[in-house]
This record gives sequence, structure tokens and C-alpha cells, in this order.
Amino acid sequence: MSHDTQAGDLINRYVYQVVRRLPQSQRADIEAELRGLIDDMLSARGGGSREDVIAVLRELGRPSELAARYSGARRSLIGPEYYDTYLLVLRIVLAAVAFGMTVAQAIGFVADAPASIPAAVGGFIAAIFAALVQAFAWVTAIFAVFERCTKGSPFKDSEWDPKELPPVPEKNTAIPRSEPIAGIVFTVLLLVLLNAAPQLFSAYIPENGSLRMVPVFDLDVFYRQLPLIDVLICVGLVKEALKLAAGRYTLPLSLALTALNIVSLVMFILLFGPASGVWNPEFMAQIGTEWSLSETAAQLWSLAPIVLTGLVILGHVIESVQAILRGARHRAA
Amino acid sequence: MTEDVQGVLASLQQELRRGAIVLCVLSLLNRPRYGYALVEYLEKSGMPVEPGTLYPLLRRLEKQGLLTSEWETSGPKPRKYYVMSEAGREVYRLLTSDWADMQAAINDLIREGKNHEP
Repeated sequence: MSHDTQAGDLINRYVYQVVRRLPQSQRADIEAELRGLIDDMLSARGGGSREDVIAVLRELGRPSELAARYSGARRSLIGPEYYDTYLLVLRIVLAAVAFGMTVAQAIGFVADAPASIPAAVGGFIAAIFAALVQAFAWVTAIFAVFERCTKGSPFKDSEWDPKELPPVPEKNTAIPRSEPIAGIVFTVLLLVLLNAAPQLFSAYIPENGSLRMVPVFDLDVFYRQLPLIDVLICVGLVKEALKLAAGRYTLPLSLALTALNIVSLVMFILLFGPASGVWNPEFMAQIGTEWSLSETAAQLWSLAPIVLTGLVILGHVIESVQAILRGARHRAA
Repeated sequence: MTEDVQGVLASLQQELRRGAIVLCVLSLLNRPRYGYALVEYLEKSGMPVEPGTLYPLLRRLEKQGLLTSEWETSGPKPRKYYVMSEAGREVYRLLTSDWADMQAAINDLIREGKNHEP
């Protein structure tokens, strides 16, 4: 079929746009077949004018769509296999980044007051936005690579046994995902802050227009104990991870949580208890020079580790008892 | 019929046809034919298939080993002819028997539904 040069040029452009998206090895063959098809379609219309060519190409559809049908390539970045896991990880990471950046920046403002509030707020928003975009990009990129490099999701067993389906959680035994996720976010933040800048745990006392920091911790003792403190925090992370994975209180989970609670309680008493020496003994005295606090205040400070330890013991006991009660209820159900 | 329902209907019709197209194409390829001849034949038979769907489908069936192809260059235009392979004939035979069973079963269900019409 003969057609005018303008129409022929359109065909060339169309064919090129299709085959350039296809593997080299198939290009020549598909191009020849596609040209034959267009020619046949034009013959069927009984004309080779520009209008005929346009109508035929319209019927064939967008070059990208036709090429996709030829290649049968994956047309999604992250498929259904990974999508749920991807969303879960993305939520945790974005929440951790947003929260961590907010706290870090807020601490920065306190430590070094900004000259201009609007500029500081602008910078604050920009920094958080940039961090979120980065986090989003990384998580997405990692999952896209996963999607392409693995056959089938490792998160799913090839065979599943209906008998192993967990029972529907009783009311009060389900653990909403937000709870352990928030726990993980806080714990990671604590881990970062304690390791990177323990001096930030201070009282901030305005003095001659700047802030004097009186550390809560005796930093010498603190640094000596830091590896063990990190272990203690990681025990907390393991607890949250277990809760996230289980999704509901079961007896095994409750027993595991209780065992971990005992471990972390013992470690807490050793590391932060009244006998630990990690608290800055001069704290009240150093503040006192400024605020002229009484002797009673200093005595109160010496009581602080005891009170704190008491609260932590109480918290751990309540958490353990609650977990066991809920786990037992699940068992009974 | 509202526009929403029309859209649902269109996508259901498309789904219903999609699997059947392979059967139609295979049934025509017990002898060699080229792509556009299939397009015209299917249209005439009341099973119209877009060329943009059919051509990639032919290549896929070839890749799956159900069809073989050959360029015919002796005619006025060079054309690629497809025909069923041995494996294609076997698959076709099984698919047609499935189709017959399915058709009988569906017809029974529809008849039963008519008998129980309120």
C-alpha cells in the first residue's frame, strides 16, 4: 500500500516508539510484523492518506501500551506479594523519621536559640520534609529491588496450613499495631539520644543570655555503663518487636514479655538504681548556685533514683500482670 | 442502567471474553494464518479482537510453545504465518473439552435459574 510521505513518517515514528521499549533481540521481528499489520489495516480502510494512518494508529493504541502488551513486563513497582509488608515498614520508618527529626530539631532550638523564628520554622519544615522524602525513597527503592530479585515473597510460606491459622483475637487480646510501632519509634529515639548526646539530658539554666546545662547523669559513670544501657534498651526493642509480630496477647507472648521484663528490671536497677552512681550527685548543688535551692531540694534529688526505680518496678509489674491476664484469657477463649 | 453499572458490565464482558479468545485463535490456527487474516476472520465470526491485543497474544503463545511461526516472503507482502505446534494441538484438544463441559454446566445453571424465577 502506498501512502504519502507525511503519513509514512507517522508510521515510522509510531513503530519506533513501540520497538524502542522492547528487547533488542525482538525488535526487528516485531517491527516487520507491526508494519505489515499497519499496512493491512490501511488496505482494509481502502486508503493510505494521513487521516487513514492516524485512524489506524489510534486503533492500535498508545505505543507504550502496545509495547507493554508485547513485552508482558511487570507493570508495577511493588506487587501484591510485598505490598502489605511495604506499607507496614514505610509507616514505621516515616513515623520514626518524623518524630526523630522533630525532637532533634526541637532540642537544637533549645540548645541554640534561633535568631529569627519564621526562618527557623521554615527550616524546620524543610528539614522534616526532606528527611521524609529520603526515607520514602529508600524504603520504596529497597522493596522495588526485592520485588525484582526474588521469586515469590520470603514473607509467605510456599505451603500454608489452615490448621495453623491463629484464632480471631478476643476483645482486649488484640494488640493494635500502632502501639508497638510507637514503642519502637520512642525506643530508637532514646537509643540515639543516649548514645549521641547524653549531655542533652540536662537542666537548662538561663545564664547571661545563654543556657548553662547541668547534666542529669554523671557522665563518667554513664559512658562506662553505656554498652549495658544499650543492651537494656535493645531488650525493650525486642519486646516491641515481639508484640508487633504476634499481633495479639497469647500465653507464650505474655510469658516471653514477663521474662524480658524481669531481665530489663534487674538491669535497670543495676544501671540506674540508687546504688548505680549514674546520677549526677552534684545536680542540685550545681542548679542551686543559680536558684538558691534549699537543703531539702538536695535531699529530694537523692531520693529521685529511689522513686524512679519504684515507678519502673511498678510499671514492669503492671505490664507483666496485664500481659499474662490477657494471654490467659486468649488461652481460655 | 447507570453509568457505574455500565462500567462494571463492560469490565465483566471483557473478562469473560479474555480467556475465550485463546480458544478462538487456536481453533483457527490448525492451518497457517497471518495476524491480520485472524483479525478479519474473528470479526466476521462475531468475536472481534483488537489487533493490538491479538498480535502480542500470538507472540506469547509462540513463546509458550503452543504456536510456531514462519515468515512468508514469496507473496506481494512479507507476512508472518502462525500455526499450532504439536503441544498446541494437545492443549487445544484439552481446552475444547473443558469448554464443552463448562458450557454444559453453565447452561444447566442458567436453566435452573430460569425455572426458579419468581
